Amino acid sequence: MKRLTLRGGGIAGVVLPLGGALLVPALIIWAASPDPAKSLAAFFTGPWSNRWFLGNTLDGAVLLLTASLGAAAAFRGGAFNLGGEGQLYLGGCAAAVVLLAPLPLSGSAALALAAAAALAAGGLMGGLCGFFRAAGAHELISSFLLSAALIPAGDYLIAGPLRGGGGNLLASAPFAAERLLPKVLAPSALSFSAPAALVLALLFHVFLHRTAAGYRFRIAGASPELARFGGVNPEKRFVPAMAASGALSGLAGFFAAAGTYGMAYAGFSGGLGWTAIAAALIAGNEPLALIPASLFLAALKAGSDAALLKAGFGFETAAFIQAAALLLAALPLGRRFFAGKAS
Amino acid sequence: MVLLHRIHKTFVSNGIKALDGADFELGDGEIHALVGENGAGKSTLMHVMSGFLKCDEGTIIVDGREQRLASPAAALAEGIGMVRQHPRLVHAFTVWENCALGPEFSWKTKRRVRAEIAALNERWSFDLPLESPAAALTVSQGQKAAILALLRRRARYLVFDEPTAVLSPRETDALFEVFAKLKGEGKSIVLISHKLNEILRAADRITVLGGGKTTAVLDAPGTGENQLAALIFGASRNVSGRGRPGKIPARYNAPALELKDFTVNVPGRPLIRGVNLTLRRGGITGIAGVRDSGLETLELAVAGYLPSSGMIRINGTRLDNSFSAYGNNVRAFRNAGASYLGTWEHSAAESSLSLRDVLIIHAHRRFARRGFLDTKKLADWSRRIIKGAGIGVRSDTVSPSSFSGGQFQRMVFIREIAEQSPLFLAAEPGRGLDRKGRDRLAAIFRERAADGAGVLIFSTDSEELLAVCDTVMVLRDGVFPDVIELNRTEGGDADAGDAKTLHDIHERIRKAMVGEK
Repeated sequence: MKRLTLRGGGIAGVVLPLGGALLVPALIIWAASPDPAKSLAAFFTGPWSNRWFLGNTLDGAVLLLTASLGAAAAFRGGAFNLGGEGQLYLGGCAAAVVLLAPLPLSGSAALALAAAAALAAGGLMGGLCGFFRAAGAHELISSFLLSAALIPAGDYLIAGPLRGGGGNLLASAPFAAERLLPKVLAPSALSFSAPAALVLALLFHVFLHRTAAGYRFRIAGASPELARFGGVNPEKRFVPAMAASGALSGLAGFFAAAGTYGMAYAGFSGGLGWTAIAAALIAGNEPLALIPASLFLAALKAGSDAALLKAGFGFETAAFIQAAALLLAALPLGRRFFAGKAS
Repeated sequence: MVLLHRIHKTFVSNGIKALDGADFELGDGEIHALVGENGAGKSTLMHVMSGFLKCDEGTIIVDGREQRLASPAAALAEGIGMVRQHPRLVHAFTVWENCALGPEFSWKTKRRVRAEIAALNERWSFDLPLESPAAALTVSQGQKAAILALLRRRARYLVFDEPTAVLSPRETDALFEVFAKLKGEGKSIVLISHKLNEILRAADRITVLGGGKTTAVLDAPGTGENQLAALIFGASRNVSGRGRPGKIPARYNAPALELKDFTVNVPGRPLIRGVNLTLRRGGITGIAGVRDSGLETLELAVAGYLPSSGMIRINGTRLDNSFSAYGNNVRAFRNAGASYLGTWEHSAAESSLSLRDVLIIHAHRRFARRGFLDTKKLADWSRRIIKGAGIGVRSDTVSPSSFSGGQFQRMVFIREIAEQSPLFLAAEPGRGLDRKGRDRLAAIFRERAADGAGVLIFSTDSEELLAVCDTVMVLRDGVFPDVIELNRTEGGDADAGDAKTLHDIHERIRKAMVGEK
């Protein structure tokens, strides 16, 4: 682990700024809440207070981890994937299509097929943008636009063909019980997606730091000139990097639909694809550092939600706390970045 | 000519790394001895060359063309065959049938093949009992039968794996007579042997292997037995990692670099108009010019960064320099046995990579097993480079930006030198170095050249070129208007015939660079 702390944005890059980032929300709550003691208690202990809250907080971290692995995959390959939100949403919708289809499949087979559909949907969206990049259109823009354009298609699927009967909720029908990811910490939302995401993070780490292909991927992303120098064509990394990024985002959508919610509802992605980019940046795109980063951001969200429920301060205050903490967490990284450029 | 370049072979069954980037060159019409301690990888290397083993990594070039040699038959098709110590014969078959065994032998060709073998037997005075069963042959006769079989298949490169170990002195003499005759017909022979005296007697050249690496290549005439023994047994100590990085074994008869009618026509860059250049092994050629006059364009095109037309051949390997191959050219350039020290190295220092990441950019391809990096070996490698650059750091996982530009430049230079490539391309290598640093650089270039590499230096600084080159070519408007051969005296001072003083040479280069009469 010592190696990680030395690398830019490693474990130390997560832990140190986060300590400071917890202090500011505490101050904001102190100032804004009608009952500061109660709010603070809710903010810090709420996410972990019982089996239900603990499981849900962890589940939020798992979704964020998966999506941020996707964001990091693009960053490591030298690409920017701003379409994570849409890839996640469409991935979840693709999974919903499979899980609601009247196919003669066992539960696990249906889940595997749904996961594959989610990977393919996200992967195609990402890979296409990587292809566009090779043709001259920057993936930063194309991935954002493609994602923005396809989100309404997901909305249509959910509000139209997939919509379940009854209620005002714009949501698909709930998936059959055997077509849900097995729960890990019932009755909370934490499911089998948790070990899967951890394994993915580990695999990603091994790929980046232990394999020759991963080394070249990293070099191509971090320093295209050096890559070219070593006989690696950095241009060839765009499609795989973006496809992997999209696929992982899509998988996060599958985890959300089949694990967390048991259905797909309109807008279920809820900004997860964007938070994932923040998590990736905080963790310096190190797969293992993404685990604490995701945990931190998930706890922050769960904590401010808990404080909101318990003490009843404004909804905006909760959003403000999250924004302030995020900004602070990102600050030291930014400083290092600029310091590196100046010297 | 057969070239084996950076051959790696690890046996999966026991995990033993038999070959670790070995090089071997078999010229036409030579008797080449391959020596080394037990386990040095001699037999493995020859089994790779004759198609019995597939190497994990490495390049095999036969008569200028890269070959895979996936099987003994494929090797034989290229003219490479092996004679084992105890040739494998079908004992129940007659001698001539054993010699005839092969894909094209059928009842239709039987009569013709038999006559061919009889003729060869007579011509080479082997006196083999062709109609007797092979079981009746002595070892020496068995070897001759194997030679005969290879000759009938038109083998030009014959590998003998310790043939004399099982022969009497008289039989050995007879075999060496056969060697001489084969050589006289333009065939090449590889002789693996442990007997130093007979090697020095029979061979023209000697390659020393140690620990799976090529540690020396030398001419047999003028080499003493003690000297050879020291090379063989000293070599094993050398590979334990103490050796200075980048000891280049001499190899390759082909020039390090050949350009013929080499043209670079890339929009936005100065045109290179069909230049010719031959860089021999052991030569140091400098190309002087201003960056805008095409110096950088030529440099980038040779290194594979820009598409070009005309011919480029590196160490005898012709490169596809067309536009369609663009993107893979740098790899091909490196694979052909070339290293390149560019001018933009600093870009790597500002990235998020660690120093080790930067230093293993070439080596990581060697130190990988089934796609997984051998992190321990890579760490050793990068430590060796850092040490070679004379920089004391405790860790190589720090950012390259924590070093001074000069330190980083030195490490990158050693990284390229450590590749042991027979062609070394350097752009402005002395830039930013002090006097002492430049002297050291020049010494390293001379050392590389003496070790058999060709060195090509692109520089805008004629002083830098005069300090080390034996030929300076001036590039202006995409052509070479002036080529200056420098006769180097022992002390390293140069003179160029008509221009006697260093000052005159400088003037001549300067005038050619700017186009003055």
